[in-house]
Amino acid sequence: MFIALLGVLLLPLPVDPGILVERRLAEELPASVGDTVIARVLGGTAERAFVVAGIFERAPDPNRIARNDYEVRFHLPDLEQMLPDHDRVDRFAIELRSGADPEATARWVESLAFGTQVYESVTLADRSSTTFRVVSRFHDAIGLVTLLASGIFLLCLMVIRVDGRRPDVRTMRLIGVSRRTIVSAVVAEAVLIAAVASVLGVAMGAVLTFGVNTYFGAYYDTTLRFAILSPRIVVVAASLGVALGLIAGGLAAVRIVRVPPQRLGER
Amino acid sequence: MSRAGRLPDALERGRAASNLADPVEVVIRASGVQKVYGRSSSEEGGVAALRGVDVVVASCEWTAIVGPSGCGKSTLLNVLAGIDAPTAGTVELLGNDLGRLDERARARLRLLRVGFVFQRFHLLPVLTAAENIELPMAEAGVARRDRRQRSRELLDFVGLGGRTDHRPPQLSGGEQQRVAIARAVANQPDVVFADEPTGELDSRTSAQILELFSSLNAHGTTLLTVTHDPEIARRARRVIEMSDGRIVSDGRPAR
Amino acid sequence: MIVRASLRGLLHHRGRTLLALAGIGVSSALLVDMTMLASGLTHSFAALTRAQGYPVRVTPAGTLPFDSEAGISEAAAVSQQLREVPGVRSVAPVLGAQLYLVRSDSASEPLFTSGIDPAAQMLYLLVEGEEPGDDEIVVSGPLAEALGISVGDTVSLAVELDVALGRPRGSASYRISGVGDFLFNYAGERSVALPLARLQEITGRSDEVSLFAVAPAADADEEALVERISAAAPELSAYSTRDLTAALDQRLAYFRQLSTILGSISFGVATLLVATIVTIGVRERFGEIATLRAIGVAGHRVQIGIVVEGLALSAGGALLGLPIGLWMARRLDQILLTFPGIPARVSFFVFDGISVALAITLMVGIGALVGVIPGAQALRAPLGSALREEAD
Ligand SMILES: Nc1ncnc2c1ncn2[C@@H]1O[C@H](COP(=O)(O)OP(=O)(O)OP(=O)(O)O)[C@@H](O)[C@H]1O
Ligand SMILES: [Mg+2]
Repeated sequence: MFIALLGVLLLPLPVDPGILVERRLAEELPASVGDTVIARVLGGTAERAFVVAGIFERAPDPNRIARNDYEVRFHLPDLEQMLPDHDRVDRFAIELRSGADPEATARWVESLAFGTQVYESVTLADRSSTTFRVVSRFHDAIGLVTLLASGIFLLCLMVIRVDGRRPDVRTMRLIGVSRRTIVSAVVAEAVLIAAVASVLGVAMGAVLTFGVNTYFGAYYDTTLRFAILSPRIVVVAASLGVALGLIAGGLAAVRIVRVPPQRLGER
Repeated sequence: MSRAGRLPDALERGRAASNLADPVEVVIRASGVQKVYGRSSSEEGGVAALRGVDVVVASCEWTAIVGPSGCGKSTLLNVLAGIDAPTAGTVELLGNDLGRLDERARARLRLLRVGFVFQRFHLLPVLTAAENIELPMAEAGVARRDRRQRSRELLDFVGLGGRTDHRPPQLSGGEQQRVAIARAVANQPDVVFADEPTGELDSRTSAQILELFSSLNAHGTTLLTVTHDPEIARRARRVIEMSDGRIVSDGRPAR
Repeated sequence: MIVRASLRGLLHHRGRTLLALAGIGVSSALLVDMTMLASGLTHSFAALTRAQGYPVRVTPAGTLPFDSEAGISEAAAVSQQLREVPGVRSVAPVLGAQLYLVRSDSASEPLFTSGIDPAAQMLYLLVEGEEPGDDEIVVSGPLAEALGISVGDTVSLAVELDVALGRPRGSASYRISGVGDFLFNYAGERSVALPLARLQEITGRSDEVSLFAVAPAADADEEALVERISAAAPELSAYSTRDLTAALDQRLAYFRQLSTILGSISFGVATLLVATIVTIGVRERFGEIATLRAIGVAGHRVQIGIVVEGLALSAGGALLGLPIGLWMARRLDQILLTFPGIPARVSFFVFDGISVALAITLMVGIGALVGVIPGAQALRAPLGSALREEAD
C-alpha cells in the first residue's frame, strides 16, 4: 500500500509503528533507518509518528516516470487507521494455485463480488503499456521520415558524384566498357558509402544511447533505460543502409548509362 | 564572316582617344622574370618554366610567342597578364607594377583593361553567348541597356549575330572561340592576351579568327598571342621565340 | 549576371537540384515539427486552461488539480473568501467524483462526474440544451451518443456499487438538461456534470470541492492575483496557467528533450545536405571560378554567386518543408493524442511562428554561408594552375 505523502517531519519521539521510505525521499528529508517521521493524510488532521524501519528502492516503472511522486509503505492497519474510510482497500492481488485458469477465476470473482473488476496481470500490463506503444509508434514515424531524408541525401550525393565523372564514364563507354560494369561500379560505391555510414551511424547511435540513458536516468533518478541499442536494431539499421545504397546507386547509375556516350561530354 | 572586321563604334571611340594618340607607349615591361612550379627553387625538384625573361611590348604591337611545347609560353603569357605571379622578376602592365598590386587590384585591372582568350574558350556553359559577353561588362558596372546593345554589336562583329541566345554547348568550337574573343574585348581593353586561340580549330576557322585579331589590332588593340600557327606568326608584327624557359629570338618574321 | 549564372546552374542540373530540395525539404519539415513539438503541448494546454476565462486554479495545499483525492473542506466559506480577494471576477467550484451509470441490462459503468456551479463553470461548453437545474445533468457528447440519449431523456446514476448487496446504492434518476463539449476530456470520454450541491449531498462530501477555478477581473494581473490568493488562503495552493504549464512541462520533459535532440539532428542533416551539395558544386566549378577570376571578376562577387546558390537551395527546401512539416505535424499529433488521458482538445504540435521562423532562418542562413569556405578555397588556388585543370 502506498499513498502520496506530504509534510513529513523529523522528530525525536518514542518507539512507534514502522514505515518503509523510498530511497529518494530518504535522501531528500534526509532520514535513515531508526529515525522517526510524522505522517498526515492530505486534507486530514490526524497525525501519527512512525519509525523508519527500512529504506527501499522503488521498482523502476516506466508508467510512473513522469509522475515522480515519492513513495512510502505502511502496514495496512496503520494506514487504514489514518484514513476516513476504515476497512477499505483499493485492490487485491490474488495468487492462483498452479494450474488454475486465470480467466475463469476472474469471471468467478466478478460474479461473486458485485461491482468488482478482475483483470489478469497480462491484461493490466498490456493496458498500462499503451503510453509506450504510442511513443514507439511516434518514434517509428520519425524514423521513417529520417530514412526518407537520408535516402534522398544518398541519392543526391550519388547523382552528383556520377555527374562529376561524366567524362570518365564517357571515356570508359567509348573504349568499350559495358554498361553493366559501370552500373556495378557505381552501385558498389554507393553501397560502400552506405555501409561505412551505417557503421558510423551505429557508433553514433551507441554514443547517443549512452548519453540519453545517462541524462534521463539522472533527470528522473531512475535505473530505467530509455534507449536500447540491440543487435536487432544494428542489423536492421545496417541492412536498411545497404538497401538504400543499392537503390540510390542503382538509380544514379541507370541515369548515367542511359545517356549515349557521345553526349556525356556535354555539361 | 561577311560582317566581321568592323569594330563596334563604342570600341573605336575609346581606342582613338587612348592608344593611337601615343603609339610608342609601353604596355608591358617585364624584366628578369622567373617562374618555378612546385618547389621554391628549381634545383630541388621544382619545374623551372621561365628562366629569366626580359620583354617590352609597346602599344598597338601584335606580338606572337612561338616555341616548342613545354617551353613556357603559356606560363609567360599568364605572368604578363597578371594571372600568375612570377617567382622572381618584375612585370609592369599598363604602367602598374603587378607585384605591388593586391589580387583585388589585379582583378580590377584585368577586368577593365585586359582581355584574355583561352585555348579552350572557358565560357560559362549555363549563360548564353550574349550573356557571356555581358558578364565582364556587368562586373564593370555597365548599364544593362548599354551592355545588351554592345554584346549584340560584338556578336555581329564576330559574325554570330544570329546566335545570341545559344549556350556554348550548342556552338561549334570556332563559334565558341569567337564568343570568347568578343568577351575578351567587351570592356574595350588596351591589351588582349590569347593563348593558342586557334589551337583547336581547323584552318578555315583559324583564318576567320585571324581576321578578327587583325581587325582588333588595326583598331589599336595591343595583341599578345601564343601560337603554333605559322599564319598567325606571319601576321604578327613581331615574333618572340622561346626555348626552355628563355627567349631565344625576338624580331620581325621573315616574310 | 553572376547571380543569374548561379541560379541557371541550379536549373541546369535539374535532377540533383530537385533531389537536394526534396532532401532539405524533408529535413526542414522535421525541423519544423520538432520546433512545434518543443513547446506545442505547453502552448495548447495553456490556451485550454484559459479558454473559459478561468486561468487560475486553487487546490488543496501541495497538490495539482485532480492529482489526488484530497478535497477542500468548508468550500462555501473558502469560495466566499476567494471572491473577496481583490481582482477576482468569478469563482467556479468543481468537485470530482465517480458515479455509476445504472443500466437495466448489464453491469454498471463508472462515469467521471463533476459537481459544478451552473452559473460559473469552466468545464464544458453547452452544445445543446441548457445548464442543469436540480435533478438535472449535462452529459458529454460521446456519452449521449453511446447511450442514444438526448436533452429531455432521463438516466439513473448510482453513488456506489455495494459489493455485499450486489447492487448499486443510492441511485436516482436525472433529467438531461444539456449536452456539453467537455474541454478537458480525452477523445470519446463519457462524463457528466451536475450542480455541486447535489453531488456533495449524494456523495456525502458535504461542503467539499476538489478545486476552484478563478477568473480574474479584466484588468487584474494573473500572477499578482495568484500571490494575493496564496496570501489570503495559505492552506490552499493557487496556480496560474504558467505554473500549471510548468508542471506539465516537467512531466513531459521527455518530449521536449526528444524534440530538441531530433530537432538538432534534422537541423544538422539539412545543413550537411546543403553544405555537401554546395561544396561539390563549387568543386565542380573550380575551373569556372578560375575563368571568372581570370577575366577580372572580384573574389567577393564570385562568393556572392556561391552564396546565392546555397541560399536558393536551402530557402527553396525550407519553403517546401513548411507544408510538409505542417502535414506531418498533423499526422504525428494524431499518433500522440492516442496517449491515454490526454485531453482531446490539446495538441502536441502548435505552430509558433517565431520559433519556427528562427529555426528555419538559422538553417537557411547556414546553408547560404557554408559555400563560402570551399569558395574561398577556390579563390585561393593559384589561378594559372586552376585554369589548366579546367582545360583538362
Ligand atoms: N602547375 C604546374 N605545376 C608544375 N609544372 C607546371 C605547371 N604548369 C606548367 N608546368 C610546367 O611548366 C613548363 C612550361 O609549361 P607551359 O604550359 O608554359 O608550356 P607551353 O610552352 O605553353 O607548352 P604548350 O605549347 O604545350 O602549351 C612545362 O614543363 C610544364 O610541365
Ligand atoms: Mg601552352
